[in-house]
Amino acid sequence: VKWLLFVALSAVVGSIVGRYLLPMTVGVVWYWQVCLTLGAPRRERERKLEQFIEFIDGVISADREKGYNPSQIAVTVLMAVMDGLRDDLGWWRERVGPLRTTIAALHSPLCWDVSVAISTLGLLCYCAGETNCWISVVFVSYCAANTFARLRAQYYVKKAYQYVDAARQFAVTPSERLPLYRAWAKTMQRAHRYMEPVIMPATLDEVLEVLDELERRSGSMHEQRRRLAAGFIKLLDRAPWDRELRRGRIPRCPLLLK
Amino acid sequence: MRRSEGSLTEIEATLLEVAIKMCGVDNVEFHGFQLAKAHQQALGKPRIIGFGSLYRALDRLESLGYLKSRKEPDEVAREEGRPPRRLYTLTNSGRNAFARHLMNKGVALPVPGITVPEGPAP
Repeated sequence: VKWLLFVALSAVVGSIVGRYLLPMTVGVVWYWQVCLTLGAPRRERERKLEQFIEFIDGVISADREKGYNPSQIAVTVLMAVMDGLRDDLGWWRERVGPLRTTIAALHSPLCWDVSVAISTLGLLCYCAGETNCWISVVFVSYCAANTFARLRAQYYVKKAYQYVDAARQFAVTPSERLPLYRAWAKTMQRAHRYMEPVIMPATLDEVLEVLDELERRSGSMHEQRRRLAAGFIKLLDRAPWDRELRRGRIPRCPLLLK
Repeated sequence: MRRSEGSLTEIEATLLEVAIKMCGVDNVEFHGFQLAKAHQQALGKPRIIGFGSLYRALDRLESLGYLKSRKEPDEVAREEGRPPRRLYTLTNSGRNAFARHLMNKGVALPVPGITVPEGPAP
């Protein structure tokens, strides 16, 4: 009885799958094309979808002539689309830019990477087609917000390192330097508010804690430097996303250099 | 890697070659899927060329001026009960480009409709 049930169930499932596999496959590949061309200028989108319909119709007609059943045709359709997947993505890449940098552009709140900025621009140009005004508006706002954030961050970084320069040039004793370093950390905190809202302020809080503790304690200079260095190493270790900092474009804290 | 101006990729060259063979001297029109089928037969491959690859190459060949296209009238398609197709025609510059491609590869094959100049590639 179990075997009979199994065979009957398989036959039912098989007939349902056999009946609906082709429309399902065509639907899936169609929506893949629709999603791929989403946001493309109207003319390009229409052209691509028109090509797709022509091609799928050709594949189905040719396979019917060969006497294939719908399930076999569905497999052929799927294979034909899968074969050109790389070129489909290439089509996207030609218009938008590399997928990796596009994702980075969408993810990062600050475009400091040139390729990311280019991708953002590519995405903007891509979306500034004929019909997709709302996407264009979103990306124009996104780019404007990015530019604003970048300028603010640059302003605060510059200001922060003025404190460091002052500490190096004019402050002689550690007690004179500490308020300036605290000002550096606080200004950097403001800068990082525009760069990364979660990670950096938390790390800078720790730096500030170290600075406060240093002010309170009367330990040896060697001990102070060791702890500060530890704080900054932690800061660098915990900020793998901050490529600029790692590349040293933002000057490193002189405490580490001394 | 950026391609040099007017150069053909392998797939574009193959499609152009198949198109030249299909059109002959009379310059018969063909549609994308027809070219894909001819391409499959010419190369003896078990599967047809992928959708993305075929039309990306065709678009590029058209943008280079090697192919010309027009949309088939809706009435014709309706009569045959299928969606309208885009019909492509090979241009003279397409034939010349393929001949140049062969010369650059050091192969001198006769291309219908044009005379291949003899001698080394420029």
